[in-house]
Amino acid sequence: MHAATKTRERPSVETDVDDSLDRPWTVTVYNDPINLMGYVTLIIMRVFGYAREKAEQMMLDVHQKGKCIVWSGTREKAELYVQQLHGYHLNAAMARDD
Amino acid sequence: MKMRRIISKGLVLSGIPAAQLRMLEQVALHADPSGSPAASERLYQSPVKQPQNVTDEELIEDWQEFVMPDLRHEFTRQLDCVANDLSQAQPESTPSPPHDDSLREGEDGDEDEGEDADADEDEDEDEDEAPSPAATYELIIPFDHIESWYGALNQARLVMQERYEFPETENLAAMVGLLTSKNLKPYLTSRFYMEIQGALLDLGMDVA
Repeated sequence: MHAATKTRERPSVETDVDDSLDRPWTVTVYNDPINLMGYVTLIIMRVFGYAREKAEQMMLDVHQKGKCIVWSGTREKAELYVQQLHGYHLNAAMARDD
Repeated sequence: MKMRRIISKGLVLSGIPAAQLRMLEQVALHADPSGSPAASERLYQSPVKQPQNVTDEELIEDWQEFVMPDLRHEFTRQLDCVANDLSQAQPESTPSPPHDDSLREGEDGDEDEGEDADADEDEDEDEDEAPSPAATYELIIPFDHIESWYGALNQARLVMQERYEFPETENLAAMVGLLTSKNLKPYLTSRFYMEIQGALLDLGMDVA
């Protein structure tokens, strides 16, 4: 049996935290006239590990709508993914998800 | 020109006319974004499209310091790989049949062309060094070089697109009408590179 414990009131501390790092970031792939559709599908599958059907749908969104948000999450991972996409020459960028 | 996938070698491009070999040798030249800020920006993109605050500006600065050097190194490595493979292209003694213009042929064939290759070497000894206009070449792209080839061709096409501002239409007939004397030849070169990329994608690139 646990002994009774005294609880102490938590001191109140005012903080000014920039929560922008915690807000989700998105990675968007944009259409461009160079990258072949099959290549875009392949790279989305490879970078994000998506199934072919999902990657193909994203590629079609890129092709038909001009862009597609392909991922959202932490800033660190977004940076990593964008670096990989740029390494494959896809037109891609990250942004805070507002 | 014909491209085959031969397990023991890689992708074998045969019947390459001298003019097309020269176009391949110009990949690094076309991939150089010097003198075109737009091409440079497309090749080495910013991680954010429209920086909105200090955080974005800091991200871009960090990107330029830490990520861009890696990208430059990787893109240079791709071009070096292509140049090295091209330096080993071999002249063929007999041109491919003129009707055989299919770029892609078969998958996972295990053809043994050793005998033909030996015969070619013997016959070439007596020939002049200067290539005739009808001379054709064979080029081998090892499987582990395929991605470098694709990347190098992509670099060239990205830079050419920005440098020469090709009209953005998928209709080839309309495109030809919109091209000028300045960008017609680069456009045809870019189309040639795209055809090679398509074949690489079909025959050699898989999800790792």
